Amino acid sequence: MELAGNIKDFSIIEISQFVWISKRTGRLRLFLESAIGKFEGSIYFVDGNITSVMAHDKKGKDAYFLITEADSGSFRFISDDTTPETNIVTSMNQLLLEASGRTKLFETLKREIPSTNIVYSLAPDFATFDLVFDSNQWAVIAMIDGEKTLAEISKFLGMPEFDIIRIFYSLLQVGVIKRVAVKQVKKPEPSEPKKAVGFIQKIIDYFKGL
Amino acid sequence: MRRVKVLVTGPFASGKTSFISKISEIPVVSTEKSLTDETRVVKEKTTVALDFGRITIDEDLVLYIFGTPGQERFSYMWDVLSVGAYGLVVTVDSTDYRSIIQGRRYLAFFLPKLKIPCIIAANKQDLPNALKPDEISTLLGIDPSIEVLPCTTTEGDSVKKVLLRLFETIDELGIVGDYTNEN
Repeated sequence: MELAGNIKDFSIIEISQFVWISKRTGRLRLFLESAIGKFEGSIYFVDGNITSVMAHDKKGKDAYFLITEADSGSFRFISDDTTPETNIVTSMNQLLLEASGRTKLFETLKREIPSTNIVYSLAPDFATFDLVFDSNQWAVIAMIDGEKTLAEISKFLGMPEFDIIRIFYSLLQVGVIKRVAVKQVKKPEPSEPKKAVGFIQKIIDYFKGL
Repeated sequence: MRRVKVLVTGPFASGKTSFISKISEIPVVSTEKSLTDETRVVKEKTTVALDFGRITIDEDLVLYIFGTPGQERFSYMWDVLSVGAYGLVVTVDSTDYRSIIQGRRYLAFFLPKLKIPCIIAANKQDLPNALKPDEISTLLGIDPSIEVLPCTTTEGDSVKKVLLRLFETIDELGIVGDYTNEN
């Protein structure tokens, strides 16, 4: 049976559970999209256990979490594919539990920050806050300018959607940022056709008439 | 007589020669050579210099389709063949990850050099294990403005659709460079 489909129909955690229960060996190939853009990933299974994960520029558990938190994409299981070096030593139980926990937390965070197209600015009295931030929070704070969306900041910093939303959530909770707007994602406008070139049109008409 | 040139390139055994053969009005002038190495298990012959096909649009306009050799050891012909092309078709074997990944090399070679409209022909879409065009687009790592069209180079209608879309793209973007070839 071929195992392939869309992650809207089956979550990566569900697919992982299925492969685990059926004790299959092979590679789950993924083509995904999230706030960091389009990326590819691979999860390698040996007798149902995940032994290696790679996605975007990440490996191991970080890569697995990046995959499980993708917004959209497709997957395909390739049986008996070569397994690379092991980078997951966590048991399947533990890995799936952690991933599920993150997914649930992610859903909670997304209630507060439902879109990565939201623009935030620093609170006017930001300088007066007596708070200690970690390096990731500072990296995000430095990028908040009232113009860049959360997705743009995530992409610029190469930070997974989950991490960036969690940081924005924490900053919102302490009141150091405020929502400015939701940016409409514009589709690139088709460029104005330059001059109509007669002989190109002739070729188009020829193929249309074939 | 105006001659309009299109270039078909892509990895070894991705369907370039069959693409041109299917649409050309003349038997394709093919400079093929029997393979003697391990690649023979993939196909019997390979293009060493070029494939050439022709379509007469009308008495004043003719379309020339040039195919490049797929094996990189014959790549000395790539530069020569690319001069004056209006558009580029890159064929990849949709059932073979290696072919798709190798497609990146062809795009990296031709696109910056030629800066002409390009279509990816995702060949062998009739086979059950073919990857979908959006998956191929991701694997190629291309800008979404470059279209990946499903294709089966053994079917004339499928090849026609790729060429039609290529010329529509040329029309939308305008002709890049001065490649008028009239005499």
